[in-house]
Amino acid sequence: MFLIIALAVALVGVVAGLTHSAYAIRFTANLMMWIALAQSLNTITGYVGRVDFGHVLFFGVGAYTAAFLVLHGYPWWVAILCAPLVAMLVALVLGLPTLRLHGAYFAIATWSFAEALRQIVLNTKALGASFGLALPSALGYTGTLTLMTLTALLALGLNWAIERSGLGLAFNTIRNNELVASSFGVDVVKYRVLGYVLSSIPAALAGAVYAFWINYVYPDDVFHGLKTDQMFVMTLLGGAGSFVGVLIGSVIVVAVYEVLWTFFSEQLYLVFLGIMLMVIVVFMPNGIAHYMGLRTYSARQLLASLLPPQLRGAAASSKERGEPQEPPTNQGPAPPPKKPS
Amino acid sequence: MIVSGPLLVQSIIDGLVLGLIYSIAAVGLSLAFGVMHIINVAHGDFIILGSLLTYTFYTAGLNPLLSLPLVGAVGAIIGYSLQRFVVNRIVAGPPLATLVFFFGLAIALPNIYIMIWGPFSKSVTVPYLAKALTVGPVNLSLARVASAAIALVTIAATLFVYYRTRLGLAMRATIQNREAAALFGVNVSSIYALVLAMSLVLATLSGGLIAMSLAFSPVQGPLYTLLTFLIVVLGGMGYPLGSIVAGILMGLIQSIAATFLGPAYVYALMFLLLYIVLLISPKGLLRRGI
Repeated sequence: MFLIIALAVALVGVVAGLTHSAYAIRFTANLMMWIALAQSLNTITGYVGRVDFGHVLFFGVGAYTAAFLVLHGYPWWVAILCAPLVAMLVALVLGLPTLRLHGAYFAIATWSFAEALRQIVLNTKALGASFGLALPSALGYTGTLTLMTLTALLALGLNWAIERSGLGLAFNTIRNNELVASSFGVDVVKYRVLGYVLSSIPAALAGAVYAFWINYVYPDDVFHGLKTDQMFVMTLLGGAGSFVGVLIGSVIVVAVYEVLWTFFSEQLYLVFLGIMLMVIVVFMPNGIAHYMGLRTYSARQLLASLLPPQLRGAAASSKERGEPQEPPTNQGPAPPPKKPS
Repeated sequence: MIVSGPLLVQSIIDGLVLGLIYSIAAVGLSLAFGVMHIINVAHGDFIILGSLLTYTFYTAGLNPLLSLPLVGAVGAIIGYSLQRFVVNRIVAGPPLATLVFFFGLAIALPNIYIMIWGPFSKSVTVPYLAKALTVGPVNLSLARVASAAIALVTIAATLFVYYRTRLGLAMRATIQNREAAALFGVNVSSIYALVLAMSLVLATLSGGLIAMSLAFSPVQGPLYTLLTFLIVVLGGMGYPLGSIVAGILMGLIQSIAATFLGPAYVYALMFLLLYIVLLISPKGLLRRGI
């Protein structure tokens, strides 16, 4: 399955490269970038089961690391390879305290960190402040396309490996029931942090290649929250927790963007994006992958993961019961009584 | 950087006023989370809606102070009907639904605002409110005094409703146990609609007050969402009193940091605070959250 998909993705890249059409190459490179980004969000949100509202920060960190290093005399390939290392470090530092807590804190912490980072970069002279950094063009069109395609393949491969391996099994158990996972000896926090660190790699690579592609990075582009939003639509439309589903989701959203942006306006696209999310929610909460018989992350647990444990039971019990993946173990004690008034 | 006494006093007072305004919005967010477990990621966009409506009434010649009740009423209508006709339907569905629904709203709303009000930054100035009261070394514009007074009254009214009325009792009962509350005759879906209405009244009122003292733009929603979320987390989720304390603290930090360190470091500092609180006391500064 993975081999076929990887070959198909690589083939699209090669064919686009062979056309020598600037438009085809630009479109395909963009597509590959979004495949990588959506898969990278899928790693943390789909497999690990933590909602990450600030995933764009790894894209930004990657882009800025690459730009900074190249401007300080390092060759382009060193710059690109260093980008994921820096991003992994950031993920480690950010993930360690926040992934111990329930999911809402993680969602808010990542979001606010992405925003804080944007503000810091906006005000750091060494990083060009609001003007950004201009890079020498090192890759050319086909070089960009090749590297983006490789990044997309890496992201797909990573998630495929997670789905197939014991790591995926551990993630799955943690996601479905933290208590069961830890009682079977799975170190919940360690695995979550590992998943978060892994998820930062493709995003940072995509950011680094993007920096060389656009030749110019500035905070309001590479740290723009809209990138996170788009990753979310792709992941949820495709079906969180299935690399095939998310791949399909990213292809659809990129195609829709191209059409709406070309023929109408950016504004309309954004309104469409928002409405599409609401429609997905109401009509197909498990994403496209669900209809293809692929295992996805049941939407039910994603919100449950945002709630503190003692509320989780109440939230689940009020919904229709009988969800097989959520045993009624966490009915939990009632919240502490409020002071009598 | 010179820390001078009068400047410090001035920034503390500005921070208090700002903090009170933030608190209102944060209490609204905290209520929606506490009662319905809804994580309203479009909260900031409703704050901005309050600012934009105030601006519209202002250009129509209405005094911002007089238009506040109207702005709040719009918030109430939107909140009530949104919950009654849309969100209550998906609340019964998969839990992810409400989060993603509001996420979709958060993407669509700023762009709808841009289509209606245009992309530019706006501000509302009322000549007689710009007049400053000078108390010793401190200048205080009447607009800020009025904002602080309105914020205090709003907070008091909210706490009164929440802790002293039957409606508040029903809300608190729903937080503790939805089924039991329903068994005791609480109409849960209508409580939900009222809670979102209350939450958005607080958001839009806070937006109206923000419009009177700061410039605002249609795309600032996410910033305010973030700010209110930070406040709610710092104060402890689902604990209104905590949100008020944390809101005032956040206003103070923002104002003092902006005065003495420069506006650049405000967000970094706020995030640092969040990081430390999450490390040390994840249930909020007062350890009373859920």
